[in-house]
Amino acid sequence: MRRALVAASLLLASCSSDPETEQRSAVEHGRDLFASTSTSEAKNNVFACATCHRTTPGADDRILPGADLAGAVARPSFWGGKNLDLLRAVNDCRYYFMGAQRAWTDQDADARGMYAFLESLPPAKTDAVAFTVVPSAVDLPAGDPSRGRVVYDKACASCHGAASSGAGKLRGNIPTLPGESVAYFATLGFDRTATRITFVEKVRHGPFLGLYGQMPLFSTEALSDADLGALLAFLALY
Amino acid sequence: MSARRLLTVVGALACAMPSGCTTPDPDIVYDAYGGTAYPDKRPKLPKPEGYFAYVSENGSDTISVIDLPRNVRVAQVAVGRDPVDLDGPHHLAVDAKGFVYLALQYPQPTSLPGPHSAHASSTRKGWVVKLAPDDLRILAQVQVDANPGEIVLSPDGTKLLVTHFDLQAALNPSASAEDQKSTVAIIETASFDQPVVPAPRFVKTCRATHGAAITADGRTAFVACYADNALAIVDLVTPGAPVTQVSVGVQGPYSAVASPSGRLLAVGATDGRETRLFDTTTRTPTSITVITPGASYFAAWSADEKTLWIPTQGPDAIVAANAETGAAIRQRRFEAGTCEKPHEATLGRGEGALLYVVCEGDHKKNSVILGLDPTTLETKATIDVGVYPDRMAFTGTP
Repeated sequence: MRRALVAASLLLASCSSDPETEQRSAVEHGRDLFASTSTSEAKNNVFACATCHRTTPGADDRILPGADLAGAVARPSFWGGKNLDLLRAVNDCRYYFMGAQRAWTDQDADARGMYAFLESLPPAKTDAVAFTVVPSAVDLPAGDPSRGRVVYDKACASCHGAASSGAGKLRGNIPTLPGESVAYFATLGFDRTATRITFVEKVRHGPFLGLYGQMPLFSTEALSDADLGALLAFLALY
Repeated sequence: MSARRLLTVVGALACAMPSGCTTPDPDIVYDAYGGTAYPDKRPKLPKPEGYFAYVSENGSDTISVIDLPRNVRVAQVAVGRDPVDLDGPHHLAVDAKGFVYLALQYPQPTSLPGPHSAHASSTRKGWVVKLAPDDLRILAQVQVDANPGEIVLSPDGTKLLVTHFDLQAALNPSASAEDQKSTVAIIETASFDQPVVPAPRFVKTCRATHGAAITADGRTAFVACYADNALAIVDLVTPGAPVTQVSVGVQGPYSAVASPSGRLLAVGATDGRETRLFDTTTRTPTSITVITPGASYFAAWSADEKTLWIPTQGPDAIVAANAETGAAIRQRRFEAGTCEKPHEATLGRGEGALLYVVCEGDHKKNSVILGLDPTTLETKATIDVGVYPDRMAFTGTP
C-alpha cells in the first residue's frame, strides 16, 4: 500500500510540474510579434505584420499592400513620405488596421523588440518606398480574368478566403468576394458601374479618405491598375 | 481501497487528463533590447541667422520654414496626423519658445458615389497639434470642431483660440438658430503638457466664425462672424459668460487683425469688398473703412498704426491705405502668374522689413510668398512655398 501511494503521488506530481522558462533574444521577440496578432491589444484584430509585409524582397510572390521591411530602419520616410518616424509608421499600422488604441512608445518592450527584429534584417532597401495613393477612384477597363484569378489568390485570398465561398477567410465579418459585397451594394441601389467603382475605391483607399473599416490600401506600386482591372474581371463585375 | 485499485484510479486519471501530463508550454522571457530603439532621424530644422518664419501649406500637408534675412525656403516638413489623407494644415501660431500650434481642417474627400463616400459626407472633426521647434514633430494633439478657421495665441502664450468656419451649419435653413452657430474652442496651452490632453472649452459663438483677435490682457476675443455680418465678443476667462454680438456694418466679415497696440481691429469683408476698423476699447465699429477692389482678406498693420496693407482677391491686388482716414495710398494689381489669390499680408520685423503677401495659388500647384517694398509695393523677393499656403508666422528677431 505504501509503495502504491508513493507511486500515485509521483505520477500525480509529474502531471503538475510548472512550465519551464525559455529565454529568447530581443530579435526573437520582434520576430514572434511580427507573426502574431498580439501586436495590437484589440480583441478582434486578425492581422499580424506578416499579413501585409514581407521581411525580405522576393521571399514569396504574394501581392502585399505593405512594403518589404528589410532596410526599413534606415529609411528616411514612410507611407509615401507623409510619415517621417518609423515608430509612428508602425503605430499607424497598429491603429488603422489592427485596432490598437494605445500607441507604442520607444520604451515599450514590444516596440523595442520589434525594432530589434527590424534592425536585424538585411539592409536590402534603405531608400523611401514609393507609395502612390489614388486620390479619386475611377472606373478601370476590364483585364484578363485568368490574370485576375492569380491576383485574387496573391492579394485577396489571405484575408477574404477563397473566391465565392470565402473558405479560409480571416474573420467572419470580412466579406466573401464578390457575392456578399455585391449583394450589399445592391441594397443601396448601386448599378454595376457604381459597384465596380466602389470596389476600386475600397482597394485604393482602404479605411482612409473618408472610408471606414480596417482593410489595408494598395498603392499603385503594390497593385497596378492593370492587375486591378483583371481582378474586377475575375470577380465578374463588368 | 487496495493498493492495486489506487494505482489503477490514479493511472486512469492521468490518462484521462492528457493535457495535465504533457509538457506545458514554456514561459517565454525575452531579453530587453539594449540599443537605442527608433532613433530620431527626422531632419533637424536649419536655424537661420536672425529670424525666420513658418508657413502653413493647406494643400501639401506641409510647413515651409523661411529664412527671412535671405528670403528663401530652407526646409519643408510633412506635418499632420493622417498617413494617407490630406490633413489640411490651415493657419498656425508660434509661441515665444518656438513651439508651433497648427490647426488641421480635414477637407471632405472627393469620392465617387458609393457606400463609402456616403459615409464621407459627414462633417469631419478638426485637430490642433503642438509641434516641436527643432523638427516639427507632433508633441501633443487635441480634437476641435469641424472646419477650424483661425488659430490665435494670447499675448502671454497661455491660451489658444480656434474658430470654426462651419458654413454648412450656418446656411442650413432647417437648423435652429442655435444650431447654425459655430463654436470657438478655448485651449489652455499648458494642457498640451498633460499625458492626456483635456478637451477644449467650446463656446457657441455665432454663424461661421473665422478671423479672430485676442486682447492684450488675454481676457477677451473678438471673432468675425461671417454669416452674421458681426463681431462676437467672447469672454475667455469666465466659463458660461454670455457671448455678445456687435454689427460691424460690412458684408461677410472674414478676417480680424489686431493693430500692434490692440486698440483697433481691421475687419476684412470678402462679400462687401471693404475693410472696416473696429475700436476694441469702445467695442464699436469706427467710421473708417477702406474700400477695396476685391474681397478683403487678412490685412497687415504698420507699427505706428497709420498704414494698412490689405490683400484682395477678384481682382488679385494689394492696397496700401491710410488707417486714419481709410483713403487708399497706393494699389498694385498682381499680373497673372505673380500672386494668385493673395490671402494674407504681414509685415516683417525690424528696420527695413519687407511686406510679405501669402498667395494661395490655384490650390493644386506650389505657390509663392512675395516680399514687397512696403512703400512702393514693388516685389523685392519671391519665395517658393507649397500648395495653398495660408499663414506666415514669424519667430526670432532680426
